[in-house]
Amino acid sequence: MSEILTGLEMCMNIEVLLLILLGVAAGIVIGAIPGLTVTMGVALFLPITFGMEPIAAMALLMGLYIGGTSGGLISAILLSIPGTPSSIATCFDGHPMAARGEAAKALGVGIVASFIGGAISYVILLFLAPAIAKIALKFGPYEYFSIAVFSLTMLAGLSTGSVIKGLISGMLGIMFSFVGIAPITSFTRFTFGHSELNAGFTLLPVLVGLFAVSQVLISVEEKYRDDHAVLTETKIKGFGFTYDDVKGQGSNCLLSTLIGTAIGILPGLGGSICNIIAYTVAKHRSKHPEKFGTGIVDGIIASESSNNACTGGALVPLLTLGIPGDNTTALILAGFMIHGITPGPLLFRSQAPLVYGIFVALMIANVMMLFVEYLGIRVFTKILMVKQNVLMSIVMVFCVVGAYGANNRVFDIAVMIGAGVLGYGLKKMKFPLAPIILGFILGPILETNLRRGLMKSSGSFLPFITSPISGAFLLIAVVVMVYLFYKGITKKAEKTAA
Amino acid sequence: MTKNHDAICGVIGMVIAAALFMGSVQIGKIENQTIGADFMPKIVAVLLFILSAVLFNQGRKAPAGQKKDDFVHNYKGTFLMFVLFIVYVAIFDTLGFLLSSMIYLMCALLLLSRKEEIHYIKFIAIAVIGSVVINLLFTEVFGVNLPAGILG
Repeated sequence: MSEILTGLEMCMNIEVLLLILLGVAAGIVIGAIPGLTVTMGVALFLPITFGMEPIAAMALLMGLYIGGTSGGLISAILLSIPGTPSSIATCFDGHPMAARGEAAKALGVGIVASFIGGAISYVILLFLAPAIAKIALKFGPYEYFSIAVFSLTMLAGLSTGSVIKGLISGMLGIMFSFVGIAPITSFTRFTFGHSELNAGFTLLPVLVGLFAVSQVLISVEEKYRDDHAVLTETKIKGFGFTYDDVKGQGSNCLLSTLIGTAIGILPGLGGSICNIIAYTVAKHRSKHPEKFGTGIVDGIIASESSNNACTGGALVPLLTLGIPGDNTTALILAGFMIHGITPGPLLFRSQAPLVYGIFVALMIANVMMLFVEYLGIRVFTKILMVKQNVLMSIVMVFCVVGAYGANNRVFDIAVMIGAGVLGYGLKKMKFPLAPIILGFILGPILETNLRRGLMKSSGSFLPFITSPISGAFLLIAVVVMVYLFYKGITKKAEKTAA
Repeated sequence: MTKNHDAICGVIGMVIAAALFMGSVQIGKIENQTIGADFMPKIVAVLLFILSAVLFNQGRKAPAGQKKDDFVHNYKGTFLMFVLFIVYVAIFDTLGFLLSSMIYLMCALLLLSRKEEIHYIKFIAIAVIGSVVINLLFTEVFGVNLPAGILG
């Protein structure tokens, strides 16, 4: 308790508080612009922290991390374009709500869910980090492979219409991840002699292409359509929603938070997939799964509480083991190193006040995120007043810069446009797009860990089943698939009977 | 989308799966290795083929029923936008971000607008101001190196 108070004392000065506010506000803007990610934001601000005190630098980075993760919900809801990969699932229900004039409600629910998800995960981080890290350390290739298999079963649940189409989209995503140098043996695959393809496709251009570029193409095709999202809420009270709107959502929010935290703890998975998994779980648990995707708060709560919870989870291995789970935490790790902080098991003993200072900064950043976005709702919704033709044209330029900025090469813009045309075609054929991203992220994890595992077991598949954690995840995956199959059959029987 | 389109998608999926499998056969191998770099692509190719075949079957069996939309689809505009994207990429390095974005923005605004929404002066202003502001934001604030092209 005394360490927490020391941490609080370190953060309670005007410089640190202003830096947290700056980080949160900048993070929200960066997260909200399609094509700009929180990773880019942290990279941008990292050099600015060089001359700062460690706690001030960490406070700024934590503010950016939280603001950037949460900011993605703004464009997801208002434009149906996820600002960051963490808010893909927010589009599913957020945009339909905006389209029927409930943008403020959708934003308000998303912001509060982000806050709750973040708050719970930081409490978990504060009290259980070292213990959780010990468990996470036991995860080897067998366990990672099984988690990837389990996560892939979520593909079937992501499709609003045909399960087959969801699975095909997922397979396409995995297929795109094969391009480039193969893991373990480093053979080049499907590069067709183009050196640009050696490193494979980068996630950002693929994501922006699939969701934003395809949306621009749809906008041109449907320019004579009259039901675009409009701003109908002239007076917004509070967060834009009432208690009745979110009644009974407690368990959804808590479970999604736990999913986000758990996935965040495991390096390599991260926010990009946790929002999709939490959304799918919420849909399966729901008494009205058919309403998911039509614009209900359940979907927004699941996605937003999980993605912000993931930030807390991702800091567990970073602080306790020095393992960054994704690009953003890798940059934050660089920030730690620059300021002479060496994350690892001894950090909690050697630099306890600073660690708890970081925890407190996280919590303050979370409150500031709530505050800034609360004030922002009234401004964000004004985006809908901008004409669709102007908005979509400008969004595309942001996307081009974002794709180019990923590696400073025009090739990534071409990849983005290719992904956009593919996304347009798939949307027209009613294929869901989110499974492509899930497959694209999980493909390399699945393959690398399968091959590592087989090398470890001298070619035997048995340890994948006999390892308790791995076996449990594989069993859950089988149960989920059998359940979905059974549900599909009973649904078909009901339809035939009707 | 009609169910018959599902059948067409199924066929396309099967063709892609077959191409993926054939491409996987050509991937290099190391002797005495349990599974190589070709293993996962082959598995995905087989799964994709099976799923596409199921989709083809579903699409073939189900009756076709076209649901008419209450607005006119602007497919010509979509194609032109696609061409514009390609032109944008082609001139991005040569003309630089600023000029290529101005050209792109002007054309995109014309393609995305209905006849009654077209105001040339307003569009030129949006294209110029939009490109300059975005250029300044990314180069000066975010430190992203954007190609200067012929202006550089």
